[in-house]
Amino acid sequence: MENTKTVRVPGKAGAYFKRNIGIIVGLIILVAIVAISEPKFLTPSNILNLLRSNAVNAIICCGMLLAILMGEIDISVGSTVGLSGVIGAFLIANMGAPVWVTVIACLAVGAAVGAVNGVAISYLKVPAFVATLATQCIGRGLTEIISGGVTIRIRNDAYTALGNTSFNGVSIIVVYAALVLIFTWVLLNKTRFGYYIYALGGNKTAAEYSGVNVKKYNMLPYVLIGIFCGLGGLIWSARLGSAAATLGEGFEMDAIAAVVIGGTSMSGGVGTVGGTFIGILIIGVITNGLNLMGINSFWQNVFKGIIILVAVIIDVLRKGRSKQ
Amino acid sequence: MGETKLLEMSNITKAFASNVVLNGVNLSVGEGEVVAILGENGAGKSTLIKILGGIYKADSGEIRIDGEVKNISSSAVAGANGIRIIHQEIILVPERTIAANVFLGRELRTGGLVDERKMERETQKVIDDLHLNLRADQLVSELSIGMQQLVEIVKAISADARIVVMDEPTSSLSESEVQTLFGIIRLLQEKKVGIIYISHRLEELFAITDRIVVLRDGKMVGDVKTKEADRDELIHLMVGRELSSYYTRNKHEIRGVSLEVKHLKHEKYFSDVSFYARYGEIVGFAGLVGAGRTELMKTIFGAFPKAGGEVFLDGEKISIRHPQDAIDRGIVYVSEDRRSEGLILKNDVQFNMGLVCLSDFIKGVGVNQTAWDKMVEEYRQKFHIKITSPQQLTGNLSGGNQQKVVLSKWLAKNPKVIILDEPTRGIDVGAKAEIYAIIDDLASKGVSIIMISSELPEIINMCNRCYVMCEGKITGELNEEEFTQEAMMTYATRREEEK
Repeated sequence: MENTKTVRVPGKAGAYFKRNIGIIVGLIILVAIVAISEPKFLTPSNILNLLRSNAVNAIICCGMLLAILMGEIDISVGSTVGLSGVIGAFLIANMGAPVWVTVIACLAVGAAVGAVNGVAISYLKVPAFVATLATQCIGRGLTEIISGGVTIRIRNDAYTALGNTSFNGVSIIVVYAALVLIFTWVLLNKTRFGYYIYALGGNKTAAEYSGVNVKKYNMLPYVLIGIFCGLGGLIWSARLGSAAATLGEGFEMDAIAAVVIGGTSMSGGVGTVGGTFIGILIIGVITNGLNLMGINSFWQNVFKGIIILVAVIIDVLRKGRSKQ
Repeated sequence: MGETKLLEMSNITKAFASNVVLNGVNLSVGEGEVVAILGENGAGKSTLIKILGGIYKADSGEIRIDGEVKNISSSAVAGANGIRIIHQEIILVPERTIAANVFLGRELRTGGLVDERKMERETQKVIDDLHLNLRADQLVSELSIGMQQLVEIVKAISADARIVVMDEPTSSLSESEVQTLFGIIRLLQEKKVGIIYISHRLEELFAITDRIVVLRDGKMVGDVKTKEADRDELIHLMVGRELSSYYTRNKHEIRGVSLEVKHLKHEKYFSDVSFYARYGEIVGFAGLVGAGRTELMKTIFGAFPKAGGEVFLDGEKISIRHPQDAIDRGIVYVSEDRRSEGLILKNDVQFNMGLVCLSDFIKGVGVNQTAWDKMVEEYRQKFHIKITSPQQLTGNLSGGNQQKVVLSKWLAKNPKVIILDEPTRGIDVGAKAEIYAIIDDLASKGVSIIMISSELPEIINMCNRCYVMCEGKITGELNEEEFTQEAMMTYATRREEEK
């Protein structure tokens, strides 16, 4: 008597498609609209441009995904990008520091901000929004102090090459973004660390009672978010060959938007790198398409806001229906 | 039957996709009548109630109130028709007063402004009518779970109620609170309110109801007068098969002391508690809700901080500061509240089962899916867990299946001491019997089991020894041969009698 019921689980690609069907269709419709009204959109050079200009957002999104999966948020990401970018520029341009020292410094600045956030949130029980609002202010202030309010120019070719090299037209920063996305996917799907993030985001008490060190696993993701932001700052300053006090302003909004559009639940415990990736592309296509159409950035914000609302409403409706 | 009934639901049918949940069910309730709905989980009880409450719409059939056909299209319409549903879960705002909760959504106003005083006065009137020992201006968060349940009832009947549905109202009430509830029900009966009472506890149905309607697999299989009903017959109707034995009890070989607690203290919940448990033994903890049993166990488990005292395992003093420490030493705690403390409802069965032993399946980077699948399959078969796939969300499982998932999660760790807190709360008769068999099997394998239960028959029929707690102290210790409900209740209320 064979009692085992085998259940057909769709293949990896099939499952991915099924889970994200709503936003995939949304992305295709969006691409179609933009491509029809602006033929330049589908040219290889524009697509490479689109990927490049969203690479840093993708890196930040990986961090934001971790925070939102825990049922929390990190609104300090933009200011951390600015702080590490400006410190990097300051070191290499004003102090003449070697490239490797600058790289490590950028990542370390990010990690430090993340550690402050993590300790405040996890060990001192400061609500994530408040803790990261505070570090956002502090970070932005320090960025202005260090830069002196002026743009720091970088004239170190080895450093600027870190953001301006390309392979067959594919920018190196797209490669960085791909690596961070893969890293985050592996982290969330193939390590205990990732499972614990889902567990404590889904139900902190149950996770704690199951022996998960919730304090530690609530704190460490913030350090990682900080490192991603440090990388973001490094890449931007290298790419632009300069860093200004305004670097990274508003990055948190694009990141939250992409993560939420990607189907991540703001209450935590539910969300994927795959969904977030599509969210990033949706935000990217909107920005790029509207740019091509010559619509100014004020209107772009309006459209982004509408898309976020629509995406979340669709998601809520879909979940509501599947419950019954 | 010439008389018009207060409520008549006739020929109610409801299907979700191809799954027929209710099939031609009839239910009638007269004025002042208490009707029980009995059935296993999945029998269709909650769907029937949700249709009455306007949450679901029946595919066919009609609902009459005082003989008049009503289209109950939303919960607001249900409310307007005097239908009140008291859900099993408590839905109160903890940081607001009882009065504010009772009048939530229909606040009393004087000159456009909310009149707190007036709401408190009105609420207090209802509370006094029901002879409850509560003050309308108390914060809900200060009350015990049992008292909060009673506040739900106050809330339901403070507005004009004609039909009150109580879904497992006693699941978190102590024996004395149950008596209070029965008092309330009798009062409502006098006021000609019709009551639908859903419970798994047959003893209660016999004590309070007039008629018992039995549902199985969406069909009505029995409608009997309580006076004429027979316990075994009801179980038979409900389960559709004979339950050869409800409780499983084999003789276990009791070995040495496993866990010993000496003079354990908590700042707020209990003081100077000492007890021991042995391998192969099931030790019960009886008492009223709020006696401090759950808090005691959570303190031993490291989830609550202790204020003093010592814990020994195998004669060796141990220090437990986090649940992790306890789990590492083989002491596990299965919470009474599996939805908020036991499971991650947004995640699937496989995830939940593997959480405690995750290091067995994930070493460094990479998941050993085969081993993990095997573990899930092993427990699925062993405990007869009904799931469509290991990827089914635990939030969608019935109480019994959820409890089995939680038990699997812990047993995979091969614990020495298992603390079970109300292990059969809110699960149906069939699943209960299965859980008892699992517990018995563990004890006979030499595991040390500590079981908190507010159902005295459960303690009497399962345990080898039991402690009784009252107001944060152990007031009695009984051996198997001394087990009687009277003895346990005496100890459980000892403090009050001394006064």
